[in-house]
Amino acid sequence: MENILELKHITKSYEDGINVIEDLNLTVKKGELITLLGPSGCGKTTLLRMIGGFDLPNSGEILLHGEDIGQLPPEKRPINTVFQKYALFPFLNIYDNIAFGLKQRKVDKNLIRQKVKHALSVVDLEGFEKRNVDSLSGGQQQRVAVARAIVNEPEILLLDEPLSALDHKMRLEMQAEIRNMHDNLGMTFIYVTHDQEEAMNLSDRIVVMANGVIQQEGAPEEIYDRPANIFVADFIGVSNIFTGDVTDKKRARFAGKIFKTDSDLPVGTRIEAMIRPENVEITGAGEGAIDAVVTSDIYKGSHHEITAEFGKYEVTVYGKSRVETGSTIGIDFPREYIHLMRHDMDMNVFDGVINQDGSADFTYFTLAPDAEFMRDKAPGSKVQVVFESKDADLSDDPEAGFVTGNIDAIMYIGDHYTYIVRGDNDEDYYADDDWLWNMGDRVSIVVPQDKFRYRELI
Amino acid sequence: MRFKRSMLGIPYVIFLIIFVMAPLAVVFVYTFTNGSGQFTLENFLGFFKSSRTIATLVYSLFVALVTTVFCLLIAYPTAYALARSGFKKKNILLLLAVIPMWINFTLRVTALKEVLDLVEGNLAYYPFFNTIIGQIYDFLPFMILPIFNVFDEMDKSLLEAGRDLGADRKSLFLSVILPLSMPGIASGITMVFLPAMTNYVVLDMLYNSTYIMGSLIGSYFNAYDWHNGSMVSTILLLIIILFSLIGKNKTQNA
Repeated sequence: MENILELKHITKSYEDGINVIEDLNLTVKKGELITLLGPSGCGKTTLLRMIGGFDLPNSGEILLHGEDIGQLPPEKRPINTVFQKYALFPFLNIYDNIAFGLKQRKVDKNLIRQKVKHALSVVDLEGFEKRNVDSLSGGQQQRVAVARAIVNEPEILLLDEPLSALDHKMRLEMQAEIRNMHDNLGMTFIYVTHDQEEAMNLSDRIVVMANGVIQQEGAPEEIYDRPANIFVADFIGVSNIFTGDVTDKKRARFAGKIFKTDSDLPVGTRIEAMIRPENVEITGAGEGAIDAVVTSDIYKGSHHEITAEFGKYEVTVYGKSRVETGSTIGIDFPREYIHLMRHDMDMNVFDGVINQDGSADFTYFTLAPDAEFMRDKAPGSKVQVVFESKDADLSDDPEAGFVTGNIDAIMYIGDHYTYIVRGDNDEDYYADDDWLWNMGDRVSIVVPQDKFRYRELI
Repeated sequence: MRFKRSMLGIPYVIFLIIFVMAPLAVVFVYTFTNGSGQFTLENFLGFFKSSRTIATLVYSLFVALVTTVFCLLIAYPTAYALARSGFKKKNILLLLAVIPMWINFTLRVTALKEVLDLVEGNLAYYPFFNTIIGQIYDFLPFMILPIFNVFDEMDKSLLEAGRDLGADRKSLFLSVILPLSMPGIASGITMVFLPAMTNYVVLDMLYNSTYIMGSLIGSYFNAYDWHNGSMVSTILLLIIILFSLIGKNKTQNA
């Protein structure tokens, strides 16, 4: 299929100098329904606004059919938008709302009448011409907003979280309708949402974004089955994730055992192994690879969501029948469902919560975020801390750093060593150091206070 | 007795009865009676028969119209500029535009009189012009505030939607911004037009000897002619009701 839109090296920063989007590249094919998916603040809406022309990129090109439209104002782009809160004109009736774009283009009156009538039939609102905007329900307003955009026959239709104001049932209905409309019109849709389920239901292709960077793009199945990294795995659906390493050809050690895998990652690679709850097999006690103690069983209608513990690990399994809490079950991870991801060693990322005393508890260690960040943070709110391995150093004084552990792996990277330090609870830290340490050395990790970056998790 | 929320309204109801309903009733009674207390329409018919009173009505309408038009022409772009300016200084700018309202109104007109006197030499040369200046000076903030409010609360996504659908600057103003600001314009007009018809203090202080509706009422009452004074008040009341109905209709359609 032909490319309709190409984004090349797009960078966008706001006045405060923080980059919202960094060197982003994306290609959209003609006629596809592509979804930009990510948590709030990931840059997906900014990206959509740049395609629509409401924000201009600081650098990079936006090519429509090969022509740069990156600096054109919205009214000059053959692109229309369905806005988050519909943005219908309250002073116009439904007919005039839908006819607005055609009137701007000075289309013949009779033709406008035909097109509006057709657009209303597409969104299933025949006979609503004379109604006022405020006499319509949320779902109906949503349809009018869609009709108002598609009546202009744009090259690309942008949809900015169009269903977020609707209730759950209505949302499901509208998802199916948007999908149908897309298939009937053959128009290119770019859809923004933070709802992974919605993205799964709708899209030909999903682009997962975080911190202004594309994490992965691909078909829904691909993203679900083979996430590129731990962020995508965690964001899309429910997953069991274990850290470990590749021990042998097509074998990996994680969750305290060695498993056969289909992965071709080289021996020694640090990995995260992911397996979806529906792919975990339950066997009788002693018959599986692992014996685990059931801690809970919640009936979800289509399946039982079973949580079980073994050692210091926890696993979520979707089972067909109820199991007794406290009983022991056997668990197997079938080879074809184990997905290995290369572990990113540039960044240390930990999630935690704010304590009563204003410190932040990250399970394995406690930090004191600066007052600037802590202002307006309530105890119990979730935070994330990130520090880069290049900012982390090692010390043999256990009091010098904020956490201690033993060196578990050493890699020489040109001019320095990258160490993997295994903490006392089996968690991994990555630190760069100029000095050579020995395997198993007891060290503490030192990071300057200003190199910890905190972020509120929503 | 249990306290009900509606009881909070009692003080206002008492106020309403004593200071609004009762005086209005008195005004109506005087309007439709003559000196000996008999029912008559003579007062009313007299108003429309006399060329002097009709001329006063026309002059009042004209003064109010010119005042309103100029207030609107000045206030609209001012309110737009105020609402669109950066967030922090916006309120200070608005304050500067509204502060004159806090200064005693006679004091303001007196100051204006001195300035005009200095510029024109003698106020008697341009009585109408001076009246309009005084009226605009007096009523401008009442036009700026409601229009500022609609601009300030205007949903930005509607403007984006307009541009998204192909409206350039001019067309965006005519087909989105202007209709969206109609409620502000309508309430600005009601705040300015009707008071401007009766506000004879400005005329008096700026030595404009022509009567407007307010002066007419004043002159009747000064001569203890309660019946005709009430009649003119009733006519003004009817005009106000008429304008409000039209205004309400317009905003509902918008």
